[in-house]
Amino acid sequence: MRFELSGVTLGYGGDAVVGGLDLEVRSGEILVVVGGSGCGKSTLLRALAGLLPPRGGRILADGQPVRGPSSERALMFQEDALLPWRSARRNVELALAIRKVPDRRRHSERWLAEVGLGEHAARLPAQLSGGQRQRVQLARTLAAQPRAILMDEPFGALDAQTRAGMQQMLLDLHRANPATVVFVTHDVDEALILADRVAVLTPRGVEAVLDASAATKEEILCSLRA
Amino acid sequence: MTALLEQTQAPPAATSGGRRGGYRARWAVRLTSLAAAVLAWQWVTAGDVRLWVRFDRLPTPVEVWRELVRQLGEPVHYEDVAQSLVRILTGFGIAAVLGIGLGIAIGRSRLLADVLQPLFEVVRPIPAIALVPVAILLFPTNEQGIVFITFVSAFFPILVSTRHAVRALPTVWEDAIATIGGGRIRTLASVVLPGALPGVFSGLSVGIGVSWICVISAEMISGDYGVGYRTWKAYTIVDYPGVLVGMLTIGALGWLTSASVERAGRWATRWLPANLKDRTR
Repeated sequence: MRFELSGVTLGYGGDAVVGGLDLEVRSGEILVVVGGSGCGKSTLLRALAGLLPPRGGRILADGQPVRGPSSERALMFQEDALLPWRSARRNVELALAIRKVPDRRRHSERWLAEVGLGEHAARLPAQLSGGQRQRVQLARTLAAQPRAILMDEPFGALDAQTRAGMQQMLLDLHRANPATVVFVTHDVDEALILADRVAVLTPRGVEAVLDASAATKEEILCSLRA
Repeated sequence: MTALLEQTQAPPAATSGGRRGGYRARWAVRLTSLAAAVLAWQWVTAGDVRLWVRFDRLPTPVEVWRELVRQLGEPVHYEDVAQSLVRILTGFGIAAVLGIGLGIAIGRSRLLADVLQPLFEVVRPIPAIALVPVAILLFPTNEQGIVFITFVSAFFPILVSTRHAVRALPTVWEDAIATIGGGRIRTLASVVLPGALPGVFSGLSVGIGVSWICVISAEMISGDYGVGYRTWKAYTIVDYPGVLVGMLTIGALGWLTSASVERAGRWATRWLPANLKDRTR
């Protein structure tokens, strides 16, 4: 899925969070959006997901205006978005039920195995660690088979070791299922590990879009300061 | 240091044995407390104690026990219990269905909240028992009037708790389902209803308690059968052991229905961290 944003202004209530956004997200790439706290990273993702209509400008997904949430653009949240009364397997089954997939139990166990949680399928979210809960959320997102995955600092609350494992898992899964990924983080190192391209966001808009294979940490930090 | 190590390395069997011992000790304390209360009751009533409060008019536990045994041998006792239970279950059942349904509707729809909430807020502060005259005027039979009073008493606690629970749901659950393609019905069935269950059961617990108060009061005022009617009748013919048996029966029925609602609530919300802890204990 390809996104095009031109002159987009986003905000809540009477306050504009970010304005003048121009950005292109290419089909199948991992675009990492970096920026400081409050610069509108999460707001941008909510707008791409269709949860927040833009106040100005336009957002196109594959040439069509985004007019509300869709299973084609799944959002993975930073906070705990699993339904706590459903086991890990039944959380994943929900995405499959919405798609009306038959034999949901087998499919959900396969997705959980993909994220390394095959043995914990019967556990409730409260019985899982923070990292395991994020992996279940990732499995649920992938089970929806979206064409774009929007990830809002999904590994932000994890310890360094678990985060490194999750980053590698994301890269492996993206290689196998090359959906478009828009990944938001404030961690420049994480951006360089994951990204094909890095977009630097400030409250004024997108400061720079850099090719991750050529960009350096200093270059990104410099754009952030600017 | 050695002593500390020995303490921390105590075998788990000893810990669970200690916990069992503690459990027995707590039950022993509870039963002793109850037995002491009954003994005190026997002492003040058999001894015709008159302080400021007049215990000489109250029946003794032995007299109440004899009356209870007598009533348990008579079919009318069971007919009264059945009649009160039917009234409670009918009124409470209707209140549960409408209270949960309207609570969700008001919690989700601003329009419905604007239409219905002012009406509910006007009626809600009126104690259900004050509606007895209206119930007598409105309904053709006493029976329907009593069920109506029971319904009204349980309806508002259930409605208010459900509405609060729906409004307090984290929006991230709903957003997560929306972005994997879930529509309104799916969100309602998979997120709103199960997510609101802890609050719904709080309302049901309060509702069942209040509805017992009201059904007994309504039976005392306008009933022809039922535990409340029988208790009041015993009072009017100066059958004080009968009054106490009526009170004990009401207490037992209230406990039975409240415990059933509590148990159903714990089962329905077994995913809550507190209930998970109970299950693993």
